[in-house]
Amino acid sequence: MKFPILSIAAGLLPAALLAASCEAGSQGGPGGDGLAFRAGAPPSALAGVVATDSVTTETRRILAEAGGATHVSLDGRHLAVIDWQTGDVLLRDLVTGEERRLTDNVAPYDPGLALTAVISPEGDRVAFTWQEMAKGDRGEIRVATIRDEEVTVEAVYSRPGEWPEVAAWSPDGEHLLIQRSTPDGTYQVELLPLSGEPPRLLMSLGWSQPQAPAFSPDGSHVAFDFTPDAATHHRRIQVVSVDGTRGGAVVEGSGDERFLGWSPDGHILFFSDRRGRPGVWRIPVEEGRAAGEPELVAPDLRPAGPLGFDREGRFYYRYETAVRSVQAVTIDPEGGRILTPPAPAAAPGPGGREPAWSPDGRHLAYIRGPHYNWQDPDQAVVLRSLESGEIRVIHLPPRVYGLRFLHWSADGTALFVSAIYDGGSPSFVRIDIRTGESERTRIDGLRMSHGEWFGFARALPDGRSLVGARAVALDGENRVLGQIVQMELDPAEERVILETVTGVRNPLPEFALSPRGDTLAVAVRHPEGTTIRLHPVRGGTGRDLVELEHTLHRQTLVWTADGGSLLYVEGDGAVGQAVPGELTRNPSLMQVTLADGTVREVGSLPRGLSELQVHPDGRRLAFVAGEPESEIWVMERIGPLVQRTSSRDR
Amino acid sequence: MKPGAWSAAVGAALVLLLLGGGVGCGAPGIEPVEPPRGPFPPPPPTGLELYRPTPPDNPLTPERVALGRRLFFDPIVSRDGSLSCAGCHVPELGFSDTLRVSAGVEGRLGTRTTPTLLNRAYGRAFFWDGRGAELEEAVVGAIGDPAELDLGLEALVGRLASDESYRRAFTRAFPGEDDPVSGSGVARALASYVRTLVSGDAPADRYRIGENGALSEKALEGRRVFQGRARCGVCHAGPNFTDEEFHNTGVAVRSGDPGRYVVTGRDEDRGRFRTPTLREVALTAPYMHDGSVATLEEVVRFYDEGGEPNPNLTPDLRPLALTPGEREALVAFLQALSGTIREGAH
Repeated sequence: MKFPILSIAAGLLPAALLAASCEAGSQGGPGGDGLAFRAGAPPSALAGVVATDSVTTETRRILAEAGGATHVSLDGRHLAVIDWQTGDVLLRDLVTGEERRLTDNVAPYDPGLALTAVISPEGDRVAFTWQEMAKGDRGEIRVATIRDEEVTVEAVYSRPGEWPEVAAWSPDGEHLLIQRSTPDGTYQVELLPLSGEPPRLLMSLGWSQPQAPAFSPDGSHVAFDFTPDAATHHRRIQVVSVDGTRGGAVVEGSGDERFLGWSPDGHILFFSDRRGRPGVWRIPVEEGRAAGEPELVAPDLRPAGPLGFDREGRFYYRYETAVRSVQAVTIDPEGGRILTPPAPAAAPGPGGREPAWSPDGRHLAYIRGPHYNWQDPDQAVVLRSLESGEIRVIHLPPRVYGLRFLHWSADGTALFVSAIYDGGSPSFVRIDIRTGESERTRIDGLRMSHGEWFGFARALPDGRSLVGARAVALDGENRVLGQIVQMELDPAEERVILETVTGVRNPLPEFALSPRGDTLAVAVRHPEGTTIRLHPVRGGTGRDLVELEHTLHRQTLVWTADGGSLLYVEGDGAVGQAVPGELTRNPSLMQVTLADGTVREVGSLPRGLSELQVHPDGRRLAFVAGEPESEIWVMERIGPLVQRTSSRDR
Repeated sequence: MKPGAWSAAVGAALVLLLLGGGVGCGAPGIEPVEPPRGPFPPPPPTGLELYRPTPPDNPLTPERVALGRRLFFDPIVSRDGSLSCAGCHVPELGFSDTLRVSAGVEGRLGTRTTPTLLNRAYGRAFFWDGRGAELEEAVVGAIGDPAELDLGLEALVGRLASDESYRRAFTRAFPGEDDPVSGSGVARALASYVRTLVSGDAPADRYRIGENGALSEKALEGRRVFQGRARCGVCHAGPNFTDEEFHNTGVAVRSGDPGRYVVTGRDEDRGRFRTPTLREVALTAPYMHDGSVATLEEVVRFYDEGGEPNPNLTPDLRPLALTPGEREALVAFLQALSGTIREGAH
């Protein structure tokens, strides 16, 4: 269908395309980085129309329920898909609906998990990023070659301490374009020859992760977007010749621009909010330089994951229809039952994570934005009043991002959160609740580099220190030393409270701080299951509370409000902690009584649940749940917006 | 090529020139305009980015590089003809020198040590305090500085315009321009040459791309400490081992040098200086912006102790309590950042 686009004198955003293009329940409203959205007003608001725009661009949905799709083949016939339930790579035939498994995990994420996959120009190979669970020190790039019924897989990149991610095939099929996060936290775009030669560094991007790197149709250039200036968060589209001799920004402007793809006819397609008109734009590019002016081709459309162009110039993209967010249930703490079904607890929008009840029980704080995009420029801390429902958004300074491990100070006057601060290393930031101002502390934040992990923290009642988890790889063994440490805010001194040796699959020991702040409950994983151990914060001897035959789901070990028992969500043994929807059944909320270690089931919670928190009244639980859902759409007959003069008001 | 070596052919020529004395070095009669032997610009050594940003009005050409190189080694750039750029940015010393602070004409002393010019093609801010936003701007800064070359760009252009050989070289470098012998031409030619000064292909680079024996066991341990416990990679990040940002490590407490504050006027920038590259760091002693630290061992000790306390000390610094073995390993890794230095068109 074609878009009848209407510009409105009163300045309302175009809206009619909402109904025209969203066949099946696509949600409106602003999206985060990974969300497609169409903003608009209802058709009844279209009074005062003075001009009519029309575009040749058409969009149509070709697939519902398409989670995990990462790339479309050049002939438009196949999709590369990650099966989040198993961690395998699939090739899905868009005509027959058949799926072919290219990897063969024997159980979910065993032996590994694919993260991205791209199909070769000839369609006979699929390169994918692979995390082998037994190789906790690296990510790999593998290539699956398909010959009739046979699939062979070989690793083409595997180095200790390296975390590459495959992005694209060169048109001649001889190189892969990869992006790499380095131990110092910077990102690089590299060319990986499939001849066995070492990769060549094309461009280093500092702390900005590139998005959607792709080759030009003739293979002479690559394009991607990144943030050259951390102070603005605006992303810029960069083009670089593959020999490195030419390059630069292809679209000049001060707006936020996201690269979507490079069409066979030489246009770069991008999302931009330029000229105050968000939507999909295109610009002709020759020899790596702009050869014309940007043209708006699809107003008010923000595709989520770009999947690539086919040979005919059709652009495929994901459109996300559901996101993970904060939910809450009410429980009967005495009777040990869940009383209400899960209900949304965060404001509608781009999702939320890491809920934290205030100590006085009057607010729920959480981080706005999706889990998977830690550089999302829209992320902020949200405070929701439980009494009035009022939403307060606390924006951190522009150069602060990568928020993790949100929690309250014991007196409720501040929030602490791990953040990348001013382009430096991650540190905990203290946010003053009264003023909303943030201040960097001297305590390390989330860290995952060179065999050292740090993360997850809680403020101690003394107001001067946090307690956090750290893990350090033990050289020569596939094990890590996990530690719980108390860290003073100033001066930055620390004390080890307890140590434990674990495997690399879950390096950080999970812990929960008791309501009085004097006891830690620590979940120690081992091959047979999990030990929950109680340990005084001040140090000394702890005791094992209970031995469990199963794992605990991510960040779900919590104390009940009265300190008399612990709650946790039973895991199913799957390891892909960060991946929602890994559970094959609804998980059980379990309760362990401190007095005797008795374990009982409280009830069933939503699949993929994580980040459990107990309200101080002991009756409400907040957590993150829900599975991202997406559809596959195709954009074709891509052409510029043409504005026609309307006679309606003349 | 072995670590620390630099492009042999050009290197030998430069050594001869330098040994021949300052005035004779790269004198106007010498025109090292040898056509490049292969693709131009040659790809940078392993470990560096293939993409070297250049401003649109100053693309890298063999003629500009040759002219810039000639200017770089020619003492014509100094007021009394005694000193060239290479007098302080000595090729064998990683395009730096051994003095605690730079010495200009007549032996006048500056306040900061000579920074290396290696890999400045990838820089985003220039000088220790970042007052130069573009390389073209930075390369001519020393010409007018009374404590350095003390000549002034206008006077230099006058000298060059009166030299037939230079006029020809400028015309070749900037064809079609009405006034090729200009301050802008000097800046663009010198910047073009500096963009060719690169160091890479160090043992650390070769290890990274799969040559497992490239690093000694000690250096390998140092690599782990560098990125791990010692947190060096927080500032010395990326392929050039610098984040190109400004940090207060406390070095300036003793001298009171305001550092970045001079540029921005912001109190929080007092005592902040640009993170230098660590490539060829074994060649570029003494260290810190004021040359106050003589050896790599002392540098490591300084950071192990958490820097010098002051109100603006970067939160990234704190006492590390490294073991003697870890400190040794760090030094071994830093030494493994010396590789192949290339300059000019080859």
